[in-house]
Amino acid sequence: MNEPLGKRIKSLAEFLIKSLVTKPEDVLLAARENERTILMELKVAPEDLGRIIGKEGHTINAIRTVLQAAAASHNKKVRLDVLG
Amino acid sequence: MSVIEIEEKSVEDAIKVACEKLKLPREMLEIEIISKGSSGIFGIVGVKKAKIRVKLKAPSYETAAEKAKEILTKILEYVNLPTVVEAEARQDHVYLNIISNGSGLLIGKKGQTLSALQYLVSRMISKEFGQNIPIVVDTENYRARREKTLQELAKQLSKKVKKAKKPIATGPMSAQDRRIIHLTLKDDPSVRTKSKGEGNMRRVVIYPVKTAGRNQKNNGRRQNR
Repeated sequence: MNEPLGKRIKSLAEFLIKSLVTKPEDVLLAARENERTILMELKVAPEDLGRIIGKEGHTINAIRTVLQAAAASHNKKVRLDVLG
Repeated sequence: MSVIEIEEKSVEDAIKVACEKLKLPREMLEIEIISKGSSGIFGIVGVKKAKIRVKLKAPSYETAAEKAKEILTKILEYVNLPTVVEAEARQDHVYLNIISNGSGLLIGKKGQTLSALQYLVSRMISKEFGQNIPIVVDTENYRARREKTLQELAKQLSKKVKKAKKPIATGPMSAQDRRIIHLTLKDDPSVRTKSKGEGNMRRVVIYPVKTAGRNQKNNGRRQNR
């Protein structure tokens, strides 16, 4: 697979997020990439917001950790912000 | 688990409605037919509706293990490491083992990455099957090694507590890690353990227990110092 890395990390994020929400069709994910960092911004249906953040941010932090590991294997950093 | 009852023209229709309502495939439902219903004579006299009772079937751990393996494999496809996932349905949980090149990337600081993978796979599985199935994600025997380390730590701390006769707290720990500390010291009558703190700052405090003597003023009470 020779897609650009940012795209691959984005599709991983998409897969994780869509598997957890009730309205996968309302998931909006934007990604920007520079030399060192991939920056992502996420929007989900309001009723899924809690589901994606989780208790004390548990879920969103787990998503971030997994994304960071995936990106780190390609020597990159990731930031994922949730827009409320 | 909730039980629902459905009445429809025929048993087949009722099952279809049940699947749609619960958004689950037929294989995952336990269906009990209460009455088969009858179309009566010419569909006029004695029409009786079919009635079924539907319960969520407890998924076998084998099914869950297969699905969990699929999910974890898919996640790991995005990681630039050679990985193979083994799944095993154990007595009280589904065990997933990641075989990789031993770089530690998948473990992370204090097992953070491993825990995140485990948490996400558990969430996805419980959503898929509509109920909680305990899942453990491991690699390079990390879980067993960690357990051993924590048991050692627990024993060392309890020794210190007994000597100093003062409570000592561990560092902040995950629920899994705290559980191991509690379990290690549960049969030791000279100490008592309790989790304190909120959220991810929760830690285990080990208290000395005075087995005999009159001086029990501070026994079991938190000493503020």
